[in-house]
Amino acid sequence: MQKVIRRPRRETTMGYLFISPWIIGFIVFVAGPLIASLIISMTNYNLLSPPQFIGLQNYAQMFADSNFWLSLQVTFYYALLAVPVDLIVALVLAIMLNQNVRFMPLFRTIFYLPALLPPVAISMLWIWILNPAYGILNTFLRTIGLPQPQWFLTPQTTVPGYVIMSVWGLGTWMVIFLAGLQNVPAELYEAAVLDGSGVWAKFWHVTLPMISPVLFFNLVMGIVGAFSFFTQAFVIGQGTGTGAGVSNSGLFYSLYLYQKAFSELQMGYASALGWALFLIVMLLSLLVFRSSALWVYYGGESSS
Amino acid sequence: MIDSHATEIERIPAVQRMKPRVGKRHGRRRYTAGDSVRFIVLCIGAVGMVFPLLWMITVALKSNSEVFAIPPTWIPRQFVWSNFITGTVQINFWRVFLNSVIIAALHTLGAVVSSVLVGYGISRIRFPGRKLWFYLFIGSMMLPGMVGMIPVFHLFASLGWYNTWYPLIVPAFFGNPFFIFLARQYFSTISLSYDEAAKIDGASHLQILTRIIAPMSKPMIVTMIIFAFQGSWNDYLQPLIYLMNPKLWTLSVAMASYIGTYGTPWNLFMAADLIYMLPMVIVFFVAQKYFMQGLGALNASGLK
Repeated sequence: MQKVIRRPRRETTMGYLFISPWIIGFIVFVAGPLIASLIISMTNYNLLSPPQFIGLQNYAQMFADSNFWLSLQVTFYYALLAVPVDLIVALVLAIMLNQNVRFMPLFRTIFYLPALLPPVAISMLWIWILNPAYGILNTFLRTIGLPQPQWFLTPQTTVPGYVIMSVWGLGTWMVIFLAGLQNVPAELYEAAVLDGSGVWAKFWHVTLPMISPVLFFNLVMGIVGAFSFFTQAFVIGQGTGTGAGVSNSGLFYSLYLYQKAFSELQMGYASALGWALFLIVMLLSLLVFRSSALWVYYGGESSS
Repeated sequence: MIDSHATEIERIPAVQRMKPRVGKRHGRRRYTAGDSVRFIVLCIGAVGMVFPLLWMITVALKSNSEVFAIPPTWIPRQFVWSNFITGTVQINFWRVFLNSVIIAALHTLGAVVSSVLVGYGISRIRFPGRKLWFYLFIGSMMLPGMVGMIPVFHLFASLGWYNTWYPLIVPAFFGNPFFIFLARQYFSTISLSYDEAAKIDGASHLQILTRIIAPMSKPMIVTMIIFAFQGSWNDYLQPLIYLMNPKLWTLSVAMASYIGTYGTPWNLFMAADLIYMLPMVIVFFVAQKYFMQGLGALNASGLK
């Protein structure tokens, strides 16, 4: 009898022992900082003198700050373009690679490779590719007689320039889709063919429902990624000498937060920006989660 | 629905395993028009992917004057191999390269060991509260790093870790939410009967993990190593915030400051940039075989 009781308790101890690194990590690097940054966000703090409590003033200031709204606009503009484009192109590539195609491993490697490369290195490369005069993209556009945008040097084409860069790095999405596609049972396709389904019907009724969990995962991570978009924006801003793009056209949210925190040492205000970011991402994730009941299919269970 | 290649193979008797699985691939069927179209589309896409890298290589090999030639030349008139030496000497490249290697190696060690432990605890030990902790992993995976950045910065600064490598290495030892998720998903595809058999033989959890589960999870662990190494090697924000002393810099910071200096010699810069990218390419090619298998687990029941 005693043994029966003791065993689960031992399991509980072992369980918590195994996950203890994460529990400490969660408290020290996730939950603790989250609460601490809420407190700092209610202070005026520049690292050098002790923080002064100022209540919700930072938040009030934020609502009146045109750069805050601009950074939201830039980030949403980027997310609305880059996330759908990247996901659709990645899915199409993955579907094509998942079929009977020659040199499949080679293609997979080529499409994935850019996603592995360091963002700093990629940013440098793209400053040069999108250089209006000497860059290869404009040379190509000139050859085929299309207009040549100034890319990172005019406000209108700055974000589209970042979107083109993001398409080049869509390999991660593609590989995750490909992994999802390879887990779709071949029997389902065979049944669909027996029912006389065409290519589109197979895609809508077999492929898409079966990989919807992966699509869902990628969608949420894509949104979070857009709001964490920092390195490219920072490096390209520095590299082109435009700071955060001409007239702040490349002022991504994370870049603005960084500027406030580490260039202007407005730690209180930057923490308020951090908390706003937290709330925005939570809200968007919640929206995607809520809507997922409608379109995500988990095998074997009804998607209620 | 949790399904994996490993368990699937075990269910099929040995004799049957020899035969190709009917339906999965259609064997040597004839190529149709659709296949050709797909192949051509993939080729065009692949060329688009490779173009920027080829362009980078040619720029790296050009002389100073040829870099600014209009129209740009594809094959350098003169191959200036010495760019690779000149470009790297200027920024003390190899010293910084070594810094990056050491940091990435320690970071990888910490992230993989801790995440595998936590992943095992969360997927194979039954204890109250494990569901809750699992949802907390998922939640923190969606939390942009920027949110807690300022309090964590304060924490490390107050420990005297500003301008040291500790902030880049120590947090890795407390597990990474994405890796824990990956480990948990992969482990849950391995039959629990292995654990039960081992427990009857008197094995502890640590023995089950190191002798049975970990060796069976080689693809997932290799995938984790690639991602962890990549995460550290490519990271820019952390070294940017914490490392002031150029002798302590990582390559990402050194390369970004290289571009920031006025009048960057692009050919030298691209040469150094190529060497910065190279380790990621090598790591990927060496471990590629396991990579797809490792990621395959992500599909198993998605975020559920």
